Amino acid sequence: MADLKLAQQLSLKCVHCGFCLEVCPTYRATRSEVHSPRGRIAAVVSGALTSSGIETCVYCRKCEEACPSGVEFGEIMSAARRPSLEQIMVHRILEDPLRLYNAARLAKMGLPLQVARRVAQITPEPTLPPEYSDPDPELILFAGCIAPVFFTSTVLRALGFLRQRYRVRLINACCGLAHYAEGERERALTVAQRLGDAAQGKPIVSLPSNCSSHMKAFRQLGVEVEVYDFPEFVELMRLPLPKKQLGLTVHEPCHARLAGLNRYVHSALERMGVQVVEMADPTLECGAGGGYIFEQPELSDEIMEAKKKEVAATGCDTVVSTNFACSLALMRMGFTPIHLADLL
Amino acid sequence: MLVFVDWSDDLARLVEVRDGLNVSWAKTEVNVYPEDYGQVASVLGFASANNLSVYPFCMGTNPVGPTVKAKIGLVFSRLNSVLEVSPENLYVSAQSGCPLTSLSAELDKRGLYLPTDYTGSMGGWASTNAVSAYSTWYGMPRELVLGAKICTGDGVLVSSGSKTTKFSSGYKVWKSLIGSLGWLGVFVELYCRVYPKPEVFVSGVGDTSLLNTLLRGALRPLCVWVVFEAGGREALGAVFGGYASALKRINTSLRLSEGILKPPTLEGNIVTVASKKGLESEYAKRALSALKGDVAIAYVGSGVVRLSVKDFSYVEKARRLLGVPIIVERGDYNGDYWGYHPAVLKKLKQALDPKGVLSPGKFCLGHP
Amino acid sequence: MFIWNSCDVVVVDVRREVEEIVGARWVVEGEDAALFGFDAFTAVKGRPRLVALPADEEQTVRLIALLYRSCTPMVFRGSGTSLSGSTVALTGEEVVVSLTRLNRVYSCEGLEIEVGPGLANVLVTRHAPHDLFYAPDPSSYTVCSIGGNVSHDSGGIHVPKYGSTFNSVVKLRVALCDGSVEDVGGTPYFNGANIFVGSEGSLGAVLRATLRLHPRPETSRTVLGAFQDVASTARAVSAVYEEGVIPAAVEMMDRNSIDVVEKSRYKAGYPDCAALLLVECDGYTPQVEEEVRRVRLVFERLGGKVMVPENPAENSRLWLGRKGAFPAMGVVSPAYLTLDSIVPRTELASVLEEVGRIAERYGVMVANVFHAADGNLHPLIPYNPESPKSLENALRAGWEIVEASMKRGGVPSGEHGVGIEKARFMHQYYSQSELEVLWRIKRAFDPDRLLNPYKMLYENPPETGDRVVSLLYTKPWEAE
Ligand SMILES: Cc1cc2nc3c(=O)[nH]c(=O)nc-3n(C[C@H](O)[C@H](O)[C@H](O)COP(=O)(O)OP(=O)(O)OC[C@H]3O[C@@H](n4cnc5c(N)ncnc54)[C@H](O)[C@@H]3O)c2cc1C
Ligand code: SF4
Ligand code: SF4
Repeated sequence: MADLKLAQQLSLKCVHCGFCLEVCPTYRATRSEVHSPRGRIAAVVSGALTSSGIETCVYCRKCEEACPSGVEFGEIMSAARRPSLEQIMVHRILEDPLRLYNAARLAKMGLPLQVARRVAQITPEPTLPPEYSDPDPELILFAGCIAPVFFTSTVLRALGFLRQRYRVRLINACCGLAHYAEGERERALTVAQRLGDAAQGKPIVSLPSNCSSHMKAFRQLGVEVEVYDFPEFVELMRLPLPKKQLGLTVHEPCHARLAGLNRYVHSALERMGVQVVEMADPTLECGAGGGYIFEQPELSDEIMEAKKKEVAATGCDTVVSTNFACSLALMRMGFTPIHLADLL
Repeated sequence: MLVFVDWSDDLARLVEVRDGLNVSWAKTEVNVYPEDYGQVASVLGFASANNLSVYPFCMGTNPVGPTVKAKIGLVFSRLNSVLEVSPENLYVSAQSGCPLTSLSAELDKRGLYLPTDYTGSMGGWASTNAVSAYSTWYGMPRELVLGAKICTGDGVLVSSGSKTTKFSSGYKVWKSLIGSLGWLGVFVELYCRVYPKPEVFVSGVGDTSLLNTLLRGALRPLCVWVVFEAGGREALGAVFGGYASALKRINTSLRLSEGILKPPTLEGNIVTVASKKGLESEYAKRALSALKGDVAIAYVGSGVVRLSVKDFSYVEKARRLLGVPIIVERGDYNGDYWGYHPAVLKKLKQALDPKGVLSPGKFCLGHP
Repeated sequence: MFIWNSCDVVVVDVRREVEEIVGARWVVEGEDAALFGFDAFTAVKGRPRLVALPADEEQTVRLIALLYRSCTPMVFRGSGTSLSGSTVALTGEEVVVSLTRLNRVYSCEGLEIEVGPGLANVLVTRHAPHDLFYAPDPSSYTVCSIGGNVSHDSGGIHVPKYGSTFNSVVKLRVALCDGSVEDVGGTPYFNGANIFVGSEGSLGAVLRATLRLHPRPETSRTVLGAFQDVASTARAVSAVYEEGVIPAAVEMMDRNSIDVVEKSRYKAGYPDCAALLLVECDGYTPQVEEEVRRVRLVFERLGGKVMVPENPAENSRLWLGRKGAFPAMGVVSPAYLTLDSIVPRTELASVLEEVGRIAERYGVMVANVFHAADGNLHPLIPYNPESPKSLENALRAGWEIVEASMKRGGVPSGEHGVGIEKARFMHQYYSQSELEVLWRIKRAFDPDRLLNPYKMLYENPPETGDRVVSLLYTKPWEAE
C-alpha cells in the first residue's frame, strides 16, 4: 500500500481546476468525470481504486502537460494501479517477441479469448522476429516488442540504414512502459535493468518513439542508458537522407511528444523534401496506448474514431508514425502508417 | 360611480392624482405623479390590493404595441433627475423619468455620451429596449443598462444589478424588465454604462455592397444601417468614431463627411422584425416584400429591422413566410401584436406582477 | 425537515427509469458518483445519489421531467469548473445531470453561432468563420462549458470592451421542470433569455445557446505598466479611460501573484514591482496605435515603467502568465479560495489597502490578480486542505474582503456566481423583501425547489453535518 500512499500524496497538488479535461482522450470520448484525469485523481484520493476510470486511462499523460499545478499524473496512475492477471499475462508476452509471435499466431487461429479475438482483429500477419548482430557492435538498434513481429520490414530497413555506417546489434525486447503504466512497477524496473545490462553501456537507437521516451526516463529508476530515438539520432548525426516526392501527414505519439522527440521527425522529413500536411491537432491520441487497444476495445475504438476524422481532414492516406502501437491503431482506421525508417 | 370615487380618494392620499389620459396610445381614468420611489411603490401596492390596472409611462414619445386601457396612469415625469455622473467609472445614474436630452446634455459637459438617438425618457428607453443606429457596436439598452431600482406590480422596490460592469449575484430581474414595456414591473432608477465621447465622428454613405466589409472588416464602425425603399432604392450609412489622427486614415469607398448622420425616422404604421444578427439586410429585403411595406431600415448587427407599412394585412403571412418574430410596433392592428408568447414570460409575470395589474393587454392577451 | 411540494406521481424506481432514458453506460453511481460531486471550489465536496449523462436534448428533457415528477433534487453540471461550488451535490439526495455530451455545433450564420451547452468555450471560436471570434473568455476557457458560462454569466479578460457572457447570448433553448422546452430570446422587446443568464441552473436547463460573434480585431497590442505602489497602479486604471481609451482588457497583478506565477510553469519574466497592469488595445490599427500611445503616457505620468512586448511569443508569454495565475497557485498551496467581489474602479486603491490589512490580520498570503477595469477583485487565498482551522481562517478572510467591497458600493459576485460560497451574502446584499421577489421568480420556475437546491437562495441551511458547510451557511449576523 506504500504505492497508494505515494499516489495520494502526489494527488494533493490537484486543485480541481479541470484544465486537464478537454485534452484527455477518454474524457473527450465519454465526456464523463469517471474517465477524466480529475476524476481519476479524486478516485485515488478517496481510495476508490475499483473505479472503472482507473482502468480506462490510456496513460498518454496529456493531462500532465495541461496541468497548470504540476500534478505528476503519470506517477499517480502508475503508483495507484493494480495490474490484473490478464495485464500481467500481456506484459509477460510483450517481454519476449518470440512469445508475442506465438501468441499472435494462436490468436489468429481463433483462440477463444476476448483479448485474443481483438489481437486477431487488429494486428497484421505476425512474422518471426529477425535476429542480427555485427561482430563487436558499437551501437544497439532497439526494435521494441511489437515491431519485430508485426513491422519486420521496418526493422530491417532501419537496420540496413544504420549498418551503412555502424556495427549494429539488434535487440528485440520490451522497455517496460506498459508495466510501469499499468502499475507493475517492480517488474518495470527489472525489465529496465535487464535492458541496461544487455546494452553494455553502448548507445541505443530506439525505433518505437514512446519506448525511447520511457527509456530516456530510466535514470529516474536508477538505470543508466544512453538512448536516442531513431529520428533524433538521424538528425543529431546529420546522417544523409534520400530525397522523396511524397505528401503525407505526421502523427505525434504522446510520450514522444512529452520528451520533445517529434521535432526530429519533422526536421528529417523537411531534409528529405517531403510535403507534410499538418493535422489541426497532430497530438490527438490514437487510442492505442500500450496494451490498451487490446484491453479496452470499446473506448479505444471511440478514441480512434476521433483520430480518424482528424487524419481524414488532411486528405492524406499515408501517416508517419514513429510508434508501432500507434501504427496498429492507424491501420485499423484504414490509413497507411509508415515509420521514418520505411522511407530510407 | 361610487366605486370610482372610493379608490381615487384613497389614491389621492398616497400621491397627487389628476385627470386621466385619452389619447390614441393609452386611455386612463386618472393619472398619478409620484415624487419619490416610495410613492411609486405605494401606488402599485394599492393598485394590486384593489385590482386596479396601471399603465406606467412618461413622455409618451415612443409607445409600442396595442393601446392600453387602465384605471391608473403612472406618470414618471417628476422623477426626472440625473443623480450621478462618474467619468472615472463610466456610468450614470438617473431617475427613470429623466429625458434623454437632459441626460445627454449632462454627459456632454464631462466629455461622455450614451450611444443612442432615442428621444424619450430613460425608463422608456429601457422598457422598449430601443434599437438605434449605435446598436451596431454598442448594443441596445439590454447591454447598456448595468442595474436599476425597479418596482414590482405589487409595489416591492428591488435593487437589481449595480453600477459595476458585471453582476453575478442573483437573478437579473432588471434585465428581464428591459424591453418589457412596463408589463413585468417598472423602472424607477437606472444605472447605465456610458462612454468617453470620441474625439471626432465621421459619417459615410455608399453602396450596399460595402456592407460585409463594414460589418466584418477592420474598421469597426459604431453605426451601420441600410435603408430599403419599396421602389427598390437602397442606401447604406455608417458612422465612425475615434481619435482624429486615426479617422484621418480611414480607407474606404464610402463618401465621408465629418459629423453624425442618422437613419431616417419612420412614420405611421411601424413593424419590427427580428433578424439573425449580421443578416439584418437580407431580412429587411424579405420583410419589405412580404409585408408590402414602404421603407425598411436594417440596423446592422443589432438583430433588428424596422419597417413602415401602409397597413398590417400581411403581418400573419409574413410571420409564416419569414419564420421570425414580427411585431406590430405602432398602429391599429386587430390581430396579435406579438406573435410570440413564451411560457417563461408568463412565469415572470406571475412572479413580478402577481395580480396582473400592469399594462393589461400589452402582452399575452388574456392573462389575469 | 419540513418540505412541501406538489409531486403527484410517485416513481418507484428512479434509477431504473433514468437508465431506461440514458442507457446503462451513462449512469454513474456508487463511489464513482462522487467524482461528479465537486467542482473548482475546493472547500466542499458532495456525493450525488446518481449521475446521468444524457446524449441529446430529447433525453435531457425526459430526464428532467422524470426527476421532477419523482421529487428528486437535481444539479445540472457542465465542466465543473465553478468557483462558487454551484455544482456540488450538497445533500447527497441530488441526481447530477451532466450536460457535457450535448456539445454539438448546430449552425453558424451571420454573426450568430448555435451550440450545445456542453461545448467548451474555446471551441466556439474554433468553429466560427475565421474572421469572427467569440469574445467572452474566462481564464478557464479551454475547458469551461457554454452552459456553465451562461449560468454564471461568466466574464473574463475581454469584458471591458465586449461585455460578459450576457452580452453575447442571443437566444437560449431551455428545458423547464415540467418537461417543456422553449426557445427564448432573439426577440425585440420581451426577452425570455435574460432571466436564465446567471441563474446557476436553478430555473431550468440550458439545452442550446445562440451566441453572438464579433469581427476579429485587425490589430491587438499589449502594454505592460509596472508600478512601485498599488495606489498608483489603481489610479492608472481610471486614467486610461479618462484618455478616451476603451481597452479590450485591463488586468492587474500584485507582487504576491507575480511571485506565484514566476514560480510556476507560467513564468512570464514580469518586472520586479509592487503591482503591474496588463492592458490590451485592439481594433482598427490607427486607432489602436493612438490608444497605445496614450496608455504609455498615462503609465509614465503615474511613475510606471512601460514594457511593450516585441514579438508575438513575448506577448503570449505575458498573457499566459496572467491566465495561469489561478491554477499556478497550486505551486504554493494545494488549495485556495478565490472570491470575485466587485467595486467601482475608483474604489480599487482603497479596497486593495483594506485587503492587505485583512490578510495581515488573518495571517494569510493573499495574491491579487484581477480584472481591474471592471473593479473585479480576485483575491486568491491559500489554505491547507488537511487543516479545518486553516480553511476556516481563509473563509473568514474572504468574507471580510467581500464585505469591504460591498461597503464601497460593490457587489458580492461579479462573475463566479453565488453558489454555495456566497449564499450567505444574499442575506446581506438584499433586503428581506428583495429576497422574497427573487424567491417568487424561483418558485414560478421551480415550485418544488428541486433545481440546484441551496445554491444562491436558501431558507434554512442544509443539514449535512459538515462543519464547513454549516460555516458557509451561517448568516453574517449570526456569526460571532
Ligand atoms: C482556473 C480557473 C479560472 C477561472 N477563470 C474565470 C474567469 O476568468 N472568469 C469567470 O467568469 N470565471 C472563471 N472561472 C470560473 C468558471 O470557469 C466559470 O464559472 C465557468 O463558466 C463554469 O463553467 P462550467 O462548464 O465549468 O460550469 P459548471 O461548474 O459545471 O456549472 C456552473 C453552474 O452552471 C450550471 N450549469 C452548467 N451547465 C448548465 C446548463 N446547461 N443548464 C443549466 N445550468 C447549467 C450549474 O448548475 C452551475 O450552477 C475560472 C475557474 C477556474 C477553475
Ligand atoms: S494519461 Fe491520458 S488518458 Fe490518462 S488521464 Fe491523462 S490524459 Fe487521460
Ligand atoms: S489540471 Fe491539474 S490541478 Fe487541474 S484538475 Fe487536472 S490534475 Fe488537477
